[in-house]
Amino acid sequence: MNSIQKNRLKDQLFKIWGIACTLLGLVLLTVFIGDILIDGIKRIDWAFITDLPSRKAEKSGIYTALMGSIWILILTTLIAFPIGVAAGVYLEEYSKKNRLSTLLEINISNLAGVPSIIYGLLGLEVFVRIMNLGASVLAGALTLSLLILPIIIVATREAVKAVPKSIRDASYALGASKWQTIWNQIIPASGGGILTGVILALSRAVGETAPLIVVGALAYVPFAPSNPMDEFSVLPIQIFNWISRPQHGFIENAAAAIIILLLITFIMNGIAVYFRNKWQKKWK
Amino acid sequence: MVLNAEHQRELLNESGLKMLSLCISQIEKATEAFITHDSDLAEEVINTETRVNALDLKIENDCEKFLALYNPVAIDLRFIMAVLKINFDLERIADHAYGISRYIVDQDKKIAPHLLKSLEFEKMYNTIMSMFENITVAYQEKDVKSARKVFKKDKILDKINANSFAVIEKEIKKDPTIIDQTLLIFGVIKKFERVGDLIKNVAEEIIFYIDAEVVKHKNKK
Amino acid sequence: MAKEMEITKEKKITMQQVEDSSSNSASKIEIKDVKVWYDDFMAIKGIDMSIKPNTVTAFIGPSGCGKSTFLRLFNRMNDYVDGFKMEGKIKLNGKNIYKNKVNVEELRKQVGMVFQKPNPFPKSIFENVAYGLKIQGIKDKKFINERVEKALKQADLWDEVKDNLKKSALALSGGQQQRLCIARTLAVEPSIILMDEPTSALDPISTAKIEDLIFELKEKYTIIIVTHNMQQASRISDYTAFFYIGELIEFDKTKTIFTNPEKQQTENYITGRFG
Repeated sequence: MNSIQKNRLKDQLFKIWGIACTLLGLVLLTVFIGDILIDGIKRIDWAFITDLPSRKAEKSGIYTALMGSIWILILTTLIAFPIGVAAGVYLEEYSKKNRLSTLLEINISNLAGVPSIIYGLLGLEVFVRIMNLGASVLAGALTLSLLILPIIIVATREAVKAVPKSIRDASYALGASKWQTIWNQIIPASGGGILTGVILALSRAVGETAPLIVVGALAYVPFAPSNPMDEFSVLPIQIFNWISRPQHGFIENAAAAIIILLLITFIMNGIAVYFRNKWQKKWK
Repeated sequence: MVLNAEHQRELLNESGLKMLSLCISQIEKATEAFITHDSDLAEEVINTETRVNALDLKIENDCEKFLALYNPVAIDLRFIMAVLKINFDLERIADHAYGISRYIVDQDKKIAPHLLKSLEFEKMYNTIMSMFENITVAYQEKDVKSARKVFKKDKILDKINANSFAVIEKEIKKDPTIIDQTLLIFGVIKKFERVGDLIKNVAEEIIFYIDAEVVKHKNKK
Repeated sequence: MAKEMEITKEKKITMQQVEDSSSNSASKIEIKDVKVWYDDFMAIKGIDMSIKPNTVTAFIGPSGCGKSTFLRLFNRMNDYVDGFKMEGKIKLNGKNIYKNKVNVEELRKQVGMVFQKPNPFPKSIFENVAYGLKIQGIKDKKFINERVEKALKQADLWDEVKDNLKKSALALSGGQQQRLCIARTLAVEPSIILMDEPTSALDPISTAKIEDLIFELKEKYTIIIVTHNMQQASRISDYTAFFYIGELIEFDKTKTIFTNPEKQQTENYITGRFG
């Protein structure tokens, strides 16, 4: 076999290998989702969504967990979004490029990889105990904010970095101050990228279980939170709780809850993709 | 300068030099034919006139092409302008050589040597040749000093020309039969004087090209 | 009540103030013994120059000779480069622009800049041109509309875009974008316009349009243009400065530079005989 034929063969082999790997992932995902759908789709109805949890599987609903998840989501957004974006803009635009800032950059990226349960422990000590917030929605939201803050900061920095120098030059050359340039040109231009990063970070927060358990989110909460200091539960915890029950009815409930959770995640990711595409078009 | 343009400029320079030596040789031959009454030589000059015209056209064309294609500035621009103008003057010098040759062909007479002497014909001719030498050196060596030498020499030509009328009057009174010869010589002397002026023009153009100094219409010492 | 009025008087920028500050009596520029370093590298080695108002001055020279650096001294855009250090004086109408208390943003309203690659903001045509006014705090819609129209007309772009000012600036062609950038600069009514190779990224027709534009603008503005294209310099400038490795070799009327320059180096450069 000469070298041309050898290369062609290598080409084909690699293609086949790539397709196989992709199919493996897709097939597993399809099987998993298919399984869940089969188990849970019949259980989903309006009652399921509005019922409170109960000892009887048929009467158990996800209302409190869903509300808890929504509260967590909104609070985390309100806390993490402005802090993360401001920190990202500051680090990228204002801080001097020296060894200290490089160190900072590395550490922030590292924080994004720290296991989420560590954040849970941190939240427990600082928010629940020291700040005396108790096992409240606020404590949970603060903990999750810490968790996703590095992700938002990195996404913001990347989006801001992607704004070409020529735009800044043009703005400065017209007599704009640094802040005017950032507010009028850089943030609008990087907005899409920032938004994408924030939404992805939040969709991760929606699925977090371990840190919230550590902070004290309960498995059995008979009411939806009415203020930030209330106790709460979230969908993943509810799912975890139902799966550990022996009755088959709860397995169905868990599957149904998983479908709802997946739906929320898919929708959030979809929104992120939509914004990212819109943002990329701007620069064509 | 881009290699292509440099090459074209060299070729143009050579063409200019060729034109110069061609015109000088025309004047040489025409004068010799006149003095020795050699009608064959005169015929040769007349035939060569077509070559001169062809070269004249070629140089003009090449200059136009150079201007259009290479956007010359500063010294290169002055070079092209000089070549064009020098070419024009040289062509007129060759025309005068042609005119002198026609005299010989049309006339049967040999010119009396004493006449040539009294009119300082040889001195005029030598002066012109020396002026030709000066501008050839000036052109080849880019030597402004050589070019400047012709201005004084031209004055010699002017003087001889100015005297010629009186001398001729005298000679005719001595011997009226030479009228036709004197008319011929008179014509040639006039032509020599014009050739001297034209050589002066060429010198001015060379000075402009090398020094960017316009000496035209200025009083020369 | 009185206190309130005092505060608002300070904050509001009156139309009269804007008109006064941008009355573009074109400015004279004096450069005295200017030297520039980037860390240890000496980019400009001591230049003296004087630029007359209402003229077009071209800066020519090989790449890396410092002409862009020198241009950016006039609106202090070099301030953003790490390690930039400058000595000497640059006076605009008699005032040194490198004195400590000079407000850089004010300076840039007097000295506008057009860049090599057209860099419109990813916004609408109208917003692009109005940006310079917006950042000055001007809110009067009628005033802004008038200025935008005037600037677009001056930049010879009005007829092509007047029907749809809300269109995105990025949808324009390269030549149109560059004229938009020029309009954006003109809207602020500076007295000096700096252009850093403004047509090097454009096709010949767009280039010709912008050269015509520069010729028209000369009447009201002082223009300095860095260019690699020597024919462009000879076509549109009144004065030409030839730079080489951080030094000003020759500065004279354009006609003189291109017919009979004083320095051999200059002649070598413009006839293409450079090393």
